[in-house]
Amino acid sequence: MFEISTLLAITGLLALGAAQIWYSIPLIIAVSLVWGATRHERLTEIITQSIRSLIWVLTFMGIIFALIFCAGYLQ
Amino acid sequence: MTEITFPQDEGDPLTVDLKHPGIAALLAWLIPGAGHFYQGRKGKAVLFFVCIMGIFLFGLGLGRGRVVYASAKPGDYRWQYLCQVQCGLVALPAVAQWLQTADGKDPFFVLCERYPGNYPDVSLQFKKITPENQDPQYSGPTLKDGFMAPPPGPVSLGNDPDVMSMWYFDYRHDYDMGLLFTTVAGLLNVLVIYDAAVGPAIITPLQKRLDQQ
Repeated sequence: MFEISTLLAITGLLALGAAQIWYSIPLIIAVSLVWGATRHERLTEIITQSIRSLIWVLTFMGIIFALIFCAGYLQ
Repeated sequence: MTEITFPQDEGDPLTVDLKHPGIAALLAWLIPGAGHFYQGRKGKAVLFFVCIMGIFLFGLGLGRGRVVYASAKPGDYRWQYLCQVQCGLVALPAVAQWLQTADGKDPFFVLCERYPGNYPDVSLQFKKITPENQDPQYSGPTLKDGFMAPPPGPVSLGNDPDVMSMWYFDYRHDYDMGLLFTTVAGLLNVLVIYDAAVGPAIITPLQKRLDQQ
């Protein structure tokens, strides 16, 4: 289920088609890596934590996107 | 010398040598990753330097050198600078520019000149002076944008145009994105300074068990 929600989030973000959305990618990667590295000391643990954070952020953004998208239909 | 040890689920406990935490924290503030380099945690130092300096410089470029500045003028309290300055040395030229421009002097490193707000042709007020719109007759004062300098000229408290509104007009969403990138870079370096001072926020097996209960 988690993988599906992530896929949906990514699809939703890419479907936006707005050039601005691409700016979020380096920002999300940097935030995930720094967050992971401040919670662990070993490389494998840092990478695992970073991937987990990356998925969490993308899923959260996907949920917000879906809510706004649905709100647009209800207008 | 300060050493901290984290018990692990399997294998030997993890020991991190923080050396002098105060010095490490100061270095981490001055240059992201420098505190970790001093402590011998070189992999993390490189990771922090690349991530934080990368997004800071990318953001600065998106905002054409105008997104990082210090100001406390009425209507332009630059609270974002409190976040940006957490990146240390790279954000400090803004302080020099603030002091330089405080009494109306021109900034260092002028990026461009603009027509003033009282220029007779209303359509050119606050606009950049380019070869296409240059007025050879005009010899009055101009407004000068500086690298990491506050917007020159008066700050509009209403809907009237000013240099800041021209920055948004000229650079559109790039300006907002630049502001976001540089602000987030500063906030991330707060985490890095903390990590250099007291070590990583590792969840130990004991904490895990307590959380599960």
